[in-house]
Amino acid sequence: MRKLVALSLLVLLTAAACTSPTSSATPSPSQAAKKTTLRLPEAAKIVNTMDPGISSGGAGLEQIQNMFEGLAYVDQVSGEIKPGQAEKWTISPDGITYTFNLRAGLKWSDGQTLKASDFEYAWKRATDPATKSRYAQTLWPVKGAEAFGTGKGTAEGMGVKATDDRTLVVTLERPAPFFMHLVATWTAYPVRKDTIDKNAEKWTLTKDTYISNGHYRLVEWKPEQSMTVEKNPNYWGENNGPDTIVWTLFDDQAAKSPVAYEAGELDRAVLVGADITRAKADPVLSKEIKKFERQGSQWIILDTTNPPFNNVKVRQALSMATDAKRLNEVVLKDAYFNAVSIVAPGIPGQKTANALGYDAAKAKQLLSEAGYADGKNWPANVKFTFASGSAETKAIAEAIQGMWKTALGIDIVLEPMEDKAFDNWRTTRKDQPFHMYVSGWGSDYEDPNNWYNLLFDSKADFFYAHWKNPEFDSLVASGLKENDPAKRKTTYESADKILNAEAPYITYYHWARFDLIKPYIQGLNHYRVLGRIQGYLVRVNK
Amino acid sequence: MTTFIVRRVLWMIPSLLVVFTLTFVVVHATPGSPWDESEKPLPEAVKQNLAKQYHLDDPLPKQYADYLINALHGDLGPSYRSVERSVSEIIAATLPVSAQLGLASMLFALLVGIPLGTLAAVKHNSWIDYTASFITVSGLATPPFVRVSLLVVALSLGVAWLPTGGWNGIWDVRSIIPTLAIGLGPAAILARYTRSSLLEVLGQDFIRTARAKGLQEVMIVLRHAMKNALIPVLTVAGVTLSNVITGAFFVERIYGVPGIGRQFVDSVTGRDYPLLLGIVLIFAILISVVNLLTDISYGYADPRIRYR
Repeated sequence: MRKLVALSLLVLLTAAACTSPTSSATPSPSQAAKKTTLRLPEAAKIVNTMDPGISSGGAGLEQIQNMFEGLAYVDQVSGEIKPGQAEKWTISPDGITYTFNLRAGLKWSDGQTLKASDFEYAWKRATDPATKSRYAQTLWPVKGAEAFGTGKGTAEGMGVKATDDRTLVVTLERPAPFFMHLVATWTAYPVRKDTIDKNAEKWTLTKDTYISNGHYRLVEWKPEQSMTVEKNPNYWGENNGPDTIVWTLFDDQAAKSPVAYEAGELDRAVLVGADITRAKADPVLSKEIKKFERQGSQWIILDTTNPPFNNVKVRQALSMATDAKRLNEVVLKDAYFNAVSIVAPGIPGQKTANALGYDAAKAKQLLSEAGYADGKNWPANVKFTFASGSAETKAIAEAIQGMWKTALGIDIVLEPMEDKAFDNWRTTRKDQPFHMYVSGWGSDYEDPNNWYNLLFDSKADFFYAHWKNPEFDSLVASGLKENDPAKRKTTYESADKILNAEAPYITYYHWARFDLIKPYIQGLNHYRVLGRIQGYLVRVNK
Repeated sequence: MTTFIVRRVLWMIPSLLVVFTLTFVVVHATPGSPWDESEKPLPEAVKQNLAKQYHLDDPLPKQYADYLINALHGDLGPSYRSVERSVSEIIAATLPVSAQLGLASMLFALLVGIPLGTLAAVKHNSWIDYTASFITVSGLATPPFVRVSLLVVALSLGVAWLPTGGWNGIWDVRSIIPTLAIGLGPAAILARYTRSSLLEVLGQDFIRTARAKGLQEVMIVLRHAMKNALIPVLTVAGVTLSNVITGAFFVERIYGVPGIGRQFVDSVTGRDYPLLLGIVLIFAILISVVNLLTDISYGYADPRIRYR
């Protein structure tokens, strides 16, 4: 028996002796040059494709921004415009002609030379109506682009020209001081003609055909499952971010990403609604929550031509009876930022002092001056319409209904609609009357044009408030052309004052974003405009 | 038999046409457009161009005819939401995943449901029967999307044996939770039917004869009773396929399985008309074929049934 034990021990020892050298010869992952991976969540539908020229900037934008770079980019910490593929640019004194000088030695991710003509091709392609771009209007300030984009012009008529391999000359329809923001938009990223010609819309699907020019390049995209990218060795600059980024794609990332995060499968999770409250109460998670500002406003739009809201005093009364601070801090448990004015803070022209603010007594007096003292004579069936998909919107509508009832003694009827039915209803408000509905807006780029001219100008009237003020229109029209930043700001500030005083919109909070971020992740930031994670800024210290 | 099959196959054509027409009318009567996706609306001019490029501004009868003609040629059109993949390609990529998951779930249902029902019938009114009843009633009472969430909480977050979601082929551990979540419902149905059908058969005269001959109880149940008891179960097994399909809608979505059920739900909420029509057609064909196969299999299983 003892012999048998001794023998088996000997066998075991020999086996151990034979295996140990091999196992120490292969370096363990921790000993090798440490490869880092960042694991992030994303919505499953890369909604409008991974094609920069087509994307409307929803899910998929983060991936596009990590893999592509435009002539210039918006610094995701400071918000400044910085040179990207272009090393510099000059603007003619009349603000019409932009000349971009590309960096020397630029390459695509497959090693081929990147030329100015790649930009010319990309810009014309995105504008072409046949491309079915969801964001074509970005480039419409370029001469002839709107005509081409609406089928009335040609590609040749568009004012973008590569005069040599490193020079791109762009002519605008009229001066546009915000144009560099548009140059930094994904619609203006370069794309490769040969791969698109050869693979048509399928060029975005595989690593060999999805040729890019940014910090990272595609490794694999499994639709509705995951996307993996690696550092692009042909990028002109440095990249000290993680070696690979893996996005797991969820149908409902707000519901699923915290679960995967808690199970250790993700480095970041998206938090909304009740999960924020739950995480705040959790001893571990509460230390990993981070709240980010988003430059956006959530508001009630009033039909300013439909009684009783054609009376400015009624609009002001409703606005001043809305306790936005209580709504956010008590009803919504501080899930957003308290509303300060119609336009979100940070946009030149926005001035908190212009806002009407909360004043229930003043609101009551204004409503009585309008002929509805204590809610007397208030019309029946004044409807408050909203998309019913989110339980939160319903809670908000009920809270506001209650605030107005208490402060002003008026009754409104809540009208929830299925989300898509609501979108459809909203679109038809262009020429049909309504009372009020809920929507919101967030900056595409940090410039007053993206708010005052695009939304509130009576010719644009994006949300169909049907609000028209000639003085406001002329102020924002001159602001649009003004090249002097200081003068431009004061012009928009005057317009902002009129807008707030006339109250066609009631902002009840400014947008926010809540994340759970693992403690070993540094530099993960969401800039307040668009706010996608840029891998090269992130460090994984694990 | 052959005439029966030919007639049934020919009948599938008008049924499919009716299904297709109804779906087409319903999706186009439902308000909403496929383009508004994010928290803020798209500009009007962009939406108009998209409607034009995808022929959504054509008159409805023309859209109907165009779609039908293309579908007959095997082209199910572009998906509005996935620019890079057409409807046919999406179905080709996702249907096999759902088929694997569906087969695994059906197999699980058969391997668990029938033995459980048999055991409950043989030992009826004992603790085994009551335990089996408890399991089957739980399986019937919880919808698949509740089961999948409970399984994730228990197996992924609780004991941390399995990942919280995803898919890596049917042989990967990630397929366990969705298979269980989908399969438990049909398993419960099969167990219930097997139990009641077997109890009925076990009370019949020929079983008494078999017992009188002195046969072993195992032989009686397996050789004599089961053969007759399984005929009604066969009907149910065919019908439970629709349970597997509808179960997959939500389980795939919640567990992140890249199957066709998830595409179906997405295409409804996203108003992706061509994708929705394509998937409805595929499901209609699938269910018609399975019903036909079930009917044919009766003829073999039950000598009293003759087809003319």
